[in-house]
Amino acid sequence: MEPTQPDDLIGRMQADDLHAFEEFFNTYKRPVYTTALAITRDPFLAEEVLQDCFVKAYRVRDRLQPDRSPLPWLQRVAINLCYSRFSRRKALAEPITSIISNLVVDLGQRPDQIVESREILEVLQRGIDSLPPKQQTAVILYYLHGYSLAEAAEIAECNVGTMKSRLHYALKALRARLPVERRLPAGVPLRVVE
Amino acid sequence: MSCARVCRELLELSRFGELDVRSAPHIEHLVDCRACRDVIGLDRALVQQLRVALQARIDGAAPSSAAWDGILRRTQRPEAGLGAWFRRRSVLVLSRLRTATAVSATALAVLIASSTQVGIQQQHTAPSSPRAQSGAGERFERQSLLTEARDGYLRIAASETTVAYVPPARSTDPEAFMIHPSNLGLGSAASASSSYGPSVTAPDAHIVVIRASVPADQPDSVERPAADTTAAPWQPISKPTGKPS
Repeated sequence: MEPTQPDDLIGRMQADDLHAFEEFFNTYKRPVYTTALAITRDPFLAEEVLQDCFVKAYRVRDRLQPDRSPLPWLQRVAINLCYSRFSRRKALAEPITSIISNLVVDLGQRPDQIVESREILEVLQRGIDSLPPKQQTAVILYYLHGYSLAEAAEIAECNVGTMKSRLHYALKALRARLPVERRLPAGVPLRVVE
Repeated sequence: MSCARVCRELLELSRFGELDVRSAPHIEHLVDCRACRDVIGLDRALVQQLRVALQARIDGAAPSSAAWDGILRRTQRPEAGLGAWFRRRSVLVLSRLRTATAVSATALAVLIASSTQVGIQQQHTAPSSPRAQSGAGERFERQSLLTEARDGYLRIAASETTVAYVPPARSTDPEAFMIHPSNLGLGSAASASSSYGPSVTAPDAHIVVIRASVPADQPDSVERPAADTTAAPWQPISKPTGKPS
């Protein structure tokens, strides 16, 4: 999942080589941007985070270790920047939990009908948004980026057991937000066990 | 295993791709248990939907070409604002702290080393030497007994065992009763010297300290320890100056 780091890229960056920095940006921009976008769901905000993240990387380039991939650090910075921006905007946003509750109640009123996959996805999207930041980060790193448990744990600065626990609680919370009777779009009818 | 436990373990194994040959009992249970199959199936379907939902968030998204220009522009201009000021200050303070820490540590090491040396010298010369504590918790001046011992004898035996004789302990002298291997730091083995009361030996240190009682009115009359005269002749050691504390 991790982009291959060209030889001595960080070393050249540390020698103030701007071309190396551009190469560094092109190598790592996509994973950082997608992480920011997955958290914020706002392309403009995600790009802002991307810029901040790489500007910071440039300013602290002397502290980057040439023999280690900078991606975990970049991801960590991007995640922290996303949540610090979220916390500033939180007061203005509508409480997501209430939106989900309304939606679930609405869906629950039609238990016999087949729920469209778009609606299920929407429920899940809102469910992801409502997860606590640590669980949300875990879900994005593990299920979106496909990092291993160890890699995700390194980025989130926790141990593997904690990462498993966060994923477990995230899935539990998401399952609880789904309507009781519905069919998932995979084509397999399933019963929800309460 | 209970159904709930199997289900819980299966969930974890399947979620994190840890199913292997050791999971055979779980799989067997799954074949027979419809409820567990549903739970696991729902979980897998949920994860599948979750991946789709997450992927939908980033599908086709890429940072604009202006992103690099923005980054380049920002990296070329000096940092401004309170945050930048704090960063610059923190770098400066940290570098000074590193130097100060190194200097302090060196000074402390030198201080400790010099103090230790002074302590050793005092042990041999100073009348008021550091206090020591016996095994029974008694405190006493350790050095005064050795350096300010009254008349005694020194003998070099055939086996090169050095024997020090500290005879004139009066019954009123409290320190005389504190001669003990642990107090003297000589070792634990004590050999009895029948004629001269309790004795302390230190085989490793080749020293034997013997305490003998003498009449209080004749503090300087020291008798030769007859019990050990067969080994080698005794030689008097020089009488130290000063009085025992």
